[in-house]
Amino acid sequence: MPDNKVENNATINKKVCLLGDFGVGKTSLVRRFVYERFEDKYLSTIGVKVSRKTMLLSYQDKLIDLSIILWDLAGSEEFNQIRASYLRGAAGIMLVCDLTRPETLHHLPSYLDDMRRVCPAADIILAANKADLKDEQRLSTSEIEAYVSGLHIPYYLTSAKSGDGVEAIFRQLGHLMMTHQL
Amino acid sequence: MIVPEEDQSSAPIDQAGDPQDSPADPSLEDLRQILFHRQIEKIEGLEANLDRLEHQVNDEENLVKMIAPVLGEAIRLRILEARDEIIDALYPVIGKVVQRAVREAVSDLARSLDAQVRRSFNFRLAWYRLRARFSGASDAQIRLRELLPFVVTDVLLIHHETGLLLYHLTSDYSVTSDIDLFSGMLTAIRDFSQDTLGGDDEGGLGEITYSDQHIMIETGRYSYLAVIVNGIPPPGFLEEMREAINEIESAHAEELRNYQGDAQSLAPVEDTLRPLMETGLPQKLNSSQKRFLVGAVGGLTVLLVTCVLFTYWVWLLGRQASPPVVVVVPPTPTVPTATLIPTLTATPTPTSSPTPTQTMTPSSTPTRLPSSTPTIAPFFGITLGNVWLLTGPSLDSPRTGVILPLGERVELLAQYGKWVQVRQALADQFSIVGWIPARWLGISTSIPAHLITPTALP
Repeated sequence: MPDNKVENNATINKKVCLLGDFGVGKTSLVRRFVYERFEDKYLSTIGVKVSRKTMLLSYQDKLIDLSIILWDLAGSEEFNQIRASYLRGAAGIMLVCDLTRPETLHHLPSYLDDMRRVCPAADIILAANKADLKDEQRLSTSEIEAYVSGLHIPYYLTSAKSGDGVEAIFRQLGHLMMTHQL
Repeated sequence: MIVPEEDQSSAPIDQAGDPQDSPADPSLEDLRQILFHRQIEKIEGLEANLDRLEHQVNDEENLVKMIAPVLGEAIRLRILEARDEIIDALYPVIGKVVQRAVREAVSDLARSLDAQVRRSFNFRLAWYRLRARFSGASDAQIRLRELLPFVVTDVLLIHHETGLLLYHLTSDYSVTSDIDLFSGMLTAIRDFSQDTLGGDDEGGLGEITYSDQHIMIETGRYSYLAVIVNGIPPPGFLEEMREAINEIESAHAEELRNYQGDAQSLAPVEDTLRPLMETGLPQKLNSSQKRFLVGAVGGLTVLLVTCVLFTYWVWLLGRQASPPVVVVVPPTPTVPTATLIPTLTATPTPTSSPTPTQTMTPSSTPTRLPSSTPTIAPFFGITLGNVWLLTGPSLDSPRTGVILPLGERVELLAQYGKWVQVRQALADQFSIVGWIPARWLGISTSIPAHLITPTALP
């Protein structure tokens, strides 16, 4: 996609943070989606790893090179204190829960509280991950819909393993951010 | 000292109370020997040992030999057991000694370089000297500075809050393959250190060092400047960074406060950041230095031209003084000379009278009349060998390029000392004039007096 770059496209950079419990698949989603250079060890050392994805978006007859700088935040509790610092300046937030663990959905409000305190204007989207593990799913789509309807945010069923929904959810988040931008 | 009871009871007591001073009874001495000989031997042995020890203690060389092995082992064990305490104890002394040694070594190096620079010359050193004159530093300091490399590889302007890269300048030496990720991670590390170590928003991490590479950071209100350098930054570099970030924040405060990810409007910051990138490169001259250089070059040029002109003028003078001439000599006609002889001539004077009359009025106007005067006959000689014709009357004078052959008939024009000026007739009425030693010219009679110039050069 980035190779189709049209001359004189506007280039916009946005910071996006991924939030969710440990083991929900945030890092796997990033790995599936983006170019990454840094190793995962940074997640366990300083609680974040930065990656980048460039997308060509069409919006209102304009072609835009959207460079998303993804901040994959560690889900472990030891980084709860520092998480707010990493959220500063984020234009988009991707909440991630695990369809096989209902508690990961129930923990999302605490992340949202952090987010609303630090970057209240950020666009939010929910990724219900591990959709490929159909036999182990313990979260129904109705539960998820009930949750997101209260927040007025879109959600996608994703699978970092198969790649289903991954490109789509990032693209949708990109559109949301650009709507804010333009 | 405890004395056995039997000793006290058995020993006789004299008036002074000393039981040992009783020479009157030798049997008592024998008894004492019998009773105390072992103790006496022990005492004598102890005294001998004490003497030996005293001797060893007083003999420093022996003392050192004796305790050195034990002392060395004791120190080694102590250092192993309490390394930090030993370092803490020694640092105030050793640290100063090391600092002084390093300082002296650097000074020696600078002096050595300075001496070397002053003794030698090449264009590079001349450049160092010129720079030293301009900067006020010594030659050695400039050269030492050259030996301590400093290269700015990247200059990054990064948005404080988002970690997004706002502007980036790079060089051929850049080591970062993805500068967007670099700026993001750098911001994350700054946030991490700030959260864990504390500090206000405008403080935080100032520098990250890895091997020879440094990331120097200067923070503004909305953005921060990260400069990746290799080597030792020159004094004042941080101040330059601070001025740059302040200038950028002043000029682009609105864009930085409401930054939405479009960095195009920040393109003008390059003018501010570019000088940082060029730090460590050979300095461009400022206007006053340029003026000085132009003046110096101009002065040198004028001087050079003057020298050339002066040399040419001197050469011309020398040439005029004794020209190697080829002159056209016309045949020697009888030259008419003019003499002033007043004569009476009749001049008709027209008159406009009604009755014109012609009268003859004498006038005394002198008129030139040709008259012939006698000329001096030329004086000839014969060359007595093949001889160079010179342009002047000395062996140092340049040659005319002509060799007068033996037996050549030449006209003698003048004599100056032991030299004679002669004219050799060439074909087609041309002739050449020059000087030869008088001894190479054979003459039949003495040289006429009017040809001899005793004092002045011809």
